[in-house]
Amino acid sequence: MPNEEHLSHFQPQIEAMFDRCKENAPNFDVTLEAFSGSVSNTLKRFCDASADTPATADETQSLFEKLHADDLFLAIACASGNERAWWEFDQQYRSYIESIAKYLSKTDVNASDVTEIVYTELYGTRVVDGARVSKFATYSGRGSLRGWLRTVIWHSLVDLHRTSHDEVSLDEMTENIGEGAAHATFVVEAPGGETEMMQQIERTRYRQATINALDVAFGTLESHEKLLLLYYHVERLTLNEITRLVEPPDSPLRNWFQQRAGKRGGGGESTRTHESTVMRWLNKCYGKISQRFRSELQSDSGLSSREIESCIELAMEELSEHSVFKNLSA
Amino acid sequence: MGDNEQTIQDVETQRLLELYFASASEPRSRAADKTAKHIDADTLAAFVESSLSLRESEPVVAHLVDCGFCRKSSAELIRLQNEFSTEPVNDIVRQGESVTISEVVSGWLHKLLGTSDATVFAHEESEEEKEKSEKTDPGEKE
Repeated sequence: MPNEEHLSHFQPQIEAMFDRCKENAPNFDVTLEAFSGSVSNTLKRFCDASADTPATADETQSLFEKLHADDLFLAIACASGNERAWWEFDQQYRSYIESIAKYLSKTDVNASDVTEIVYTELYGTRVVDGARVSKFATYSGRGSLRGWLRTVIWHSLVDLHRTSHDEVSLDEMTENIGEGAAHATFVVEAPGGETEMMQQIERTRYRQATINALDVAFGTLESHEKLLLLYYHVERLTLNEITRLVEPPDSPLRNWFQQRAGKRGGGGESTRTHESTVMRWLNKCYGKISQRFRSELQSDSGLSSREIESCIELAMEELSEHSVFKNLSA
Repeated sequence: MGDNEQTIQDVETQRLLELYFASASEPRSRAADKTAKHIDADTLAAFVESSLSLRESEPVVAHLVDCGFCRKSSAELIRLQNEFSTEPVNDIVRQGESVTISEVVSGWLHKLLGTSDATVFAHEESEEEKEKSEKTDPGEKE
């Protein structure tokens, strides 16, 4: 369904939404035209999000129902520079922004600098075609304004960190503070005599086979399974943090895992998710990887069961020798 | 396979994964970061709050698997969301603080909007309060 049809179909809903917001904040001077325009942009992004799967009418209806209309209304008013809206925003969010900035900038970056930068960005200093470009214009109302602000603050902090560290790129910065700091690899020692050289060749073969088999095994997982493993093992999110991420009934990750497990999914099941559930999902991923890893070593690399165990032993040995865990937690 | 055997195998797989993530594949996926466009703040925030539909989340999740920067950002935002989820919403400015906060806010707005305090806070004071302040501080009128 094209956007125009979508919009005209939902226009009465947009207008009703606008009336409600206007009633709550009559002094914001937001016009129906501006509000419809913003919702229309949100809808366009929603439709363009997945080119392969067109949005159904039900999905679009759900989008409208979940839209944070009052937050969007406030953001539109702030973007246009309405003073009352800015006053309201300041009352409601300033201390929140400051708390987040303080929490994030524990080290060398001043929290007040971050707050100042965020405010400047939100107001907008760049002028395009004679109009000021406010960061608020990029808020779609899909998530809460608080959640959006947290992301804006985080990105500002990253940029600030980058400029204060001799223009270190975002990727380099990520590598320095995150999982990238752990570029642990199998360390290859210089071989001694002939026997040692043979052993070294064998070890190198096992190493390569292990990494290749893990590569294939990991590659066979679905994206949501990969992300779960990466969140847990690379980003070090705790079971509790992951549980809270998948707690909302509409959580896509939760729905994918439940769909695969044959339970009802995609419809906002309201049962609680516990840490044990997440652990079960992880265990299923481990099971899949383990199975594929072994079969890959067996069929593709032509290793015997004994050799497969040697591969695993070697990997374990090198793991403890070279303190990969220590590096990962740094 | 018995429960114990399964547990041992899971632990073994976990350790192999640690090795895998720390060595061969990660640098490759990070290399993709440099060419890929990062997820915008609005989409990332909505994803972390589970506000995106399954249809919208699919490309986001695929990107997060490949892009270390966006994944790290999302993980930090998940932590942040958990950290601040129990904090009381400071929607109402407490009476005792109003003067100080108003002063600070007015400074900000003056900086941002180039407006005077009087313009910004004109609507803040009700008629009743205005009358009251005029009665208690007649000197101000002069």
